[in-house]
Amino acid sequence: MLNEERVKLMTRMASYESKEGEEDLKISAYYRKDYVSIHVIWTVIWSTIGYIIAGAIAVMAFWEKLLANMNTKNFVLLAVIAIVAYLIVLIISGMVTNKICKEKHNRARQRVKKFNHDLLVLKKMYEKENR
Amino acid sequence: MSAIFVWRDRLQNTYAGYAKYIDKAVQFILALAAFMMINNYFGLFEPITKPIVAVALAIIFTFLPMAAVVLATAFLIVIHMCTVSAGVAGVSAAIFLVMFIFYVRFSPKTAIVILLMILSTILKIPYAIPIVFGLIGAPVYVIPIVCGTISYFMVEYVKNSVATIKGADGLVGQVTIFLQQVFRNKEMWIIIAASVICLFVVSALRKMSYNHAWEIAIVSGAVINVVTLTTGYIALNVKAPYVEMIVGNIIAVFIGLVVELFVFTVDYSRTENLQFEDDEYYYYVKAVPKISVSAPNKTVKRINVRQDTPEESLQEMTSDDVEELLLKRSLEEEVGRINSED
Repeated sequence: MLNEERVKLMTRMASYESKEGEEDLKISAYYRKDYVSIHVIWTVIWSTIGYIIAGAIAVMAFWEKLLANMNTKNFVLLAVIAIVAYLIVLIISGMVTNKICKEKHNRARQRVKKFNHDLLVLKKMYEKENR
Repeated sequence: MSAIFVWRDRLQNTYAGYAKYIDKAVQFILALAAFMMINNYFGLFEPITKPIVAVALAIIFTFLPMAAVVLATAFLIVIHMCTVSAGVAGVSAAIFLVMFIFYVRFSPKTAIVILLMILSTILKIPYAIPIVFGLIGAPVYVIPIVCGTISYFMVEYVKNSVATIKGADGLVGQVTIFLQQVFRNKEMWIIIAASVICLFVVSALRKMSYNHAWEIAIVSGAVINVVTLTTGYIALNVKAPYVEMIVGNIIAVFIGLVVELFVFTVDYSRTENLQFEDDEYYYYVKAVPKISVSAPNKTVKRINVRQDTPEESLQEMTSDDVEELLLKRSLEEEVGRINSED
């Protein structure tokens, strides 16, 4: 005999598992702090690569102007600007990652909690039926 | 007007019923449009410009996430550029990589805006994108809009300057000339400035509580676009496509109104202004009801319906029912007779 409530619950759980469930379970395996830290580290690495590429593109685009105006004073000034800009990029991208990852972890945890609750309800349904 | 709302309601109901399939169909159409437009617009690498290639790619990318379509389009652009110069293709790939690192990685679901911006610029209606995403998005959408505009101008420059690039001195010369021409393109910076201002204005205005905020935001966005672009073109002494600009903005307003129809339809004539208070605050609330017109359910009335014969009906009746029926009939006859006598 089909139990309508059980079928509804299982459908909802299967739908969740096939969509966000897999990623949520991976995310919630981490403590929030660890999850955020890993992603911030990756962001620092990616941002450094991106900054180097963007810097190289900018240098190539303005190569002639740079060569024409290059002296020791300008070189030092440019280097200071490049370092400060790099730090700003790192701080902003780190902050953005921190915020996004915290929210993502919180949402994933909430959904996994609900999924676990549904699992318990399902288990009780089976126990009740088998009694 | 209510016919439009009924039509909208029907569309929404249809979408709700078949969302999974409609989403995939839209993704297929978008992927196909992107691949075909890039191939036709560029047309530099012959083997991949055949429609069958675009169709095959679109079918494959229908079953992958939307961000994959954007990456595939970037990859197609790089392949076309390879036929002109390996250096230019490499630098273009590097620029796409920077976009990926600083934007797509954080928000892969909105990467589609980059693609839409490229396609709409090819179709000469880039003005619609900041208006639409000002209405349904957030100010952060300026990043994909800027990325999309830069991508389009990279494509356009390579398409129009194949001979110049090939004639440059070595790989370094080709790369330098490409970067200089793309990033010193005044028209590109004017369009970027206009799009950014337009998106901020539309996004700010549509959140206001005054009546017809969305319509005002849409029209203001188009006006801001025209004013900023015209000012930019005159100030920087760039040849301006005025007719294209005005027609493009009229189309953008129309697209904005269509978006509004599906996202935000309210009845300002039934606005209620409420005022109440608690221990700490006075509240002045403006409540505007949504317009909801449900599609009428058509019922088919059958004229030649098979009816039970009185004998059949009488067989199913109890003796009390029969008595009641006979009494009712005699009363009806009596009333009819009295009426006819009067």
